[in-house]
Amino acid sequence: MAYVAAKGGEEAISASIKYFFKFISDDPLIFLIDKIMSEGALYTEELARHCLQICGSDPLVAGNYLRAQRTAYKRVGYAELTSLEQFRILRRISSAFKDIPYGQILGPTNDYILKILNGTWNQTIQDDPKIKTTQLVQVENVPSGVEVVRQMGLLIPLEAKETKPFDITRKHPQPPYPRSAALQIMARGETGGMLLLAYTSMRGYGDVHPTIGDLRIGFLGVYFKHPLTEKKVKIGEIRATSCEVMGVSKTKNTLKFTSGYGFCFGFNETKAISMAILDNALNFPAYTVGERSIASNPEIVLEHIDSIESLGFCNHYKLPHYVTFMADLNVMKTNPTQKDTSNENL
Amino acid sequence: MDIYELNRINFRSLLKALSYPGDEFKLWPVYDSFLLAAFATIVSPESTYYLEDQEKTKELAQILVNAQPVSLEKADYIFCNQFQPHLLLKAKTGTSLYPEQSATLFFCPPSDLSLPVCLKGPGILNQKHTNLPVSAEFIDLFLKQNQNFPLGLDVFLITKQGTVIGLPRTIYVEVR
Amino acid sequence: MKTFNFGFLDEDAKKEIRRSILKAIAIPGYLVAFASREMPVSRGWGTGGLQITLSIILEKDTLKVIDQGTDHSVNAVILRKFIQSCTNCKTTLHTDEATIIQTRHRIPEIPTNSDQILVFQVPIPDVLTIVEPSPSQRRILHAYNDYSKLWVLLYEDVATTGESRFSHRYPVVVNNRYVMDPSPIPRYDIPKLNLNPSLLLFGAGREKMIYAIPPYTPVKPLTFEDIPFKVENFPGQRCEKCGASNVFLDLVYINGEKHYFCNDPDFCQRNQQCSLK
Repeated sequence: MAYVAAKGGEEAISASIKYFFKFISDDPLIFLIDKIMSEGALYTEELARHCLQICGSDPLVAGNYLRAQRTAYKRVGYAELTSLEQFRILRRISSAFKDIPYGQILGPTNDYILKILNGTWNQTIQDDPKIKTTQLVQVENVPSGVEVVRQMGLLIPLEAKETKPFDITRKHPQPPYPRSAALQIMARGETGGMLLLAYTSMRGYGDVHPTIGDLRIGFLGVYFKHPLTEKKVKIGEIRATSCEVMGVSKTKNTLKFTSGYGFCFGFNETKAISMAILDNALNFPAYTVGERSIASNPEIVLEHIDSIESLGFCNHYKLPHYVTFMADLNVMKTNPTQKDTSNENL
Repeated sequence: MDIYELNRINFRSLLKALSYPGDEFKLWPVYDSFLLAAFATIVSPESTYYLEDQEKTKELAQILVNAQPVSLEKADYIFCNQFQPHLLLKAKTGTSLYPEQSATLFFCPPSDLSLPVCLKGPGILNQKHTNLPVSAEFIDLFLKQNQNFPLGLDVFLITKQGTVIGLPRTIYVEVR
Repeated sequence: MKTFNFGFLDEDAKKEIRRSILKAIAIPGYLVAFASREMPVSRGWGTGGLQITLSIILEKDTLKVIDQGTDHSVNAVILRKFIQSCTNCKTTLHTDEATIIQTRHRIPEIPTNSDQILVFQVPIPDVLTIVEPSPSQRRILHAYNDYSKLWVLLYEDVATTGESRFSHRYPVVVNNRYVMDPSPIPRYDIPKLNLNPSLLLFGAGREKMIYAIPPYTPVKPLTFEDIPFKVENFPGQRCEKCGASNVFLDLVYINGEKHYFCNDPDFCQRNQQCSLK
């Protein structure tokens, strides 16, 4: 079963490609909607689509609409705790092991699709009747690909410092940022910004090249304790992405694996991987280029990835600044002979 | 064969020649010229070159590739339809920060040149005794320009039979 | 595929890559910057290796593409199909039949000869990245042959943990001058770089660097005189299919149990055929 699957690679890839085209033909806006829900921090497909329409398909502005909408709703309570094993998996891969329990489930992804603007290459796969996409089973209760490493005792466990999760919507976290607060901020962070910061870590401003232990997209049930019956009720299902990465670090003079976790609403692998890398970098500061690391600094990462905030502030410069500017002009007029100190030490 | 096909076949010969210095590899001529064949494989509009040849060939070169002919000192690629070792003295040898900004020279030595040499260095297993179509003067100049590795010059020799021999700056040549 | 050039890249792009390759061979281990075109395959998925292969390949070549040792992984399959579709070259799964072998992260077990070229896919080309994030600074260090920061890192690792952290991408010194990143091949493969009869080309598409180890060039891992270079071993383990014990093995979990197989399937198959005779 398992090792043969690696040889059936070509068949699996073709099926995945065909499935992807079918997947997006059902909903050509799916990844955009998922990005908006994730950054808007409100899971509602209907409203997300509506926001997109009324703002001319600007994803950052659409996210702003959703975030504002949140404010209008009363908080009812907290959903029940869940875990990545609860995923009904559509796609799950692990780069750490050639094969893992349940196998590499490629699912719908554009990873294996050549970005070629030539109808025949991709069309051939789509039209091939021999490629079957029907036997896709959505598996559940699949443990993370990282479990194997945990069981080997090679993963540095993170100290559980909190007894209950911080809620960043009720209180803004201050340094030292609790991990749950950091994860929440990142889960609603802007994909491009997080990708940028994670990229600095990959390229040398931090320890490079983590390995993806488990990346999965699928459906997660949302459960809520009924206020009257006190029974757990399923109130719905969301699309979600989860990613666990492993890095390497030194602890007590031995080399061990570290981990980082990424999670977001909707299908957004780039964001989940970036988040996992950032979580890893925040908890395990680079041990080679420490002081030059960007992604290990929570004050940089956590204060600058919220797109609603940065979008707003960037565009606020369009507001009248006449008074402040006039004040600047005055300072320059009254101090015309400010000493130019730059050439002093020549 | 169209020019693109000629280019890629000829490039493989240049590649092998530089990787296995001292060995000869076949070139296919372009407009009856082996020198133009080498020219066409690697020169593109972004590169600068210096060409010493008949006027007709120079015109063809300009038509083949709309690249910039410049002075000897500035050229990235130097093509000479004869054997002129003194060109080595003026060619640019790069800088320690950018050693690749150095010239590559192509010469067409006459058939009667045959110097027995011993080659050592990258591309050679242990050492190689062979004959090169060069003069002792050339060897001196070549070694002199290449004594401050990574600065240096790389040379290709195109024989009258239409084969190419490569001499990267890393090669150590001793006259036997 | 008639709408595309041979090798997808336009001729000028190929020429720039060819020029870079020639300089890389002339300066072993030195990183030659190149323009690096975007390819239909994503950055980070082998565009550097792909550009090199497409700039050197001929119709009469036989191509083998492997990823982490296997021809059948997604990366290898797509690259092989793409290259074949725009060059009409032959393809093979057998190392000894290939004239060009494009590889991600491994060197084939079966040794290659002077009629073969290896093209390595490289994620991070500069070995100094781990100790110096600034590219301009790194260039100065390489120019001055100053690898002291790297030696300090190696020393600290050995002094504190008894071991170097480099399981792959182990720094090597090429032709006694440039220290180079051999790409994420395991330590096991490092000895194969030394005096290899084949031309070894390295392409980093995203980082826009090409470098090379000419044939028969001395390549040594950076080690301290008193600490021998250790390669991976799998004590007591053999490939379950062919019985080989001195090869790089894959650890595969099947039904919760550990199994070991040769990482190189071509080598494994040959071994099995040999033992059948």
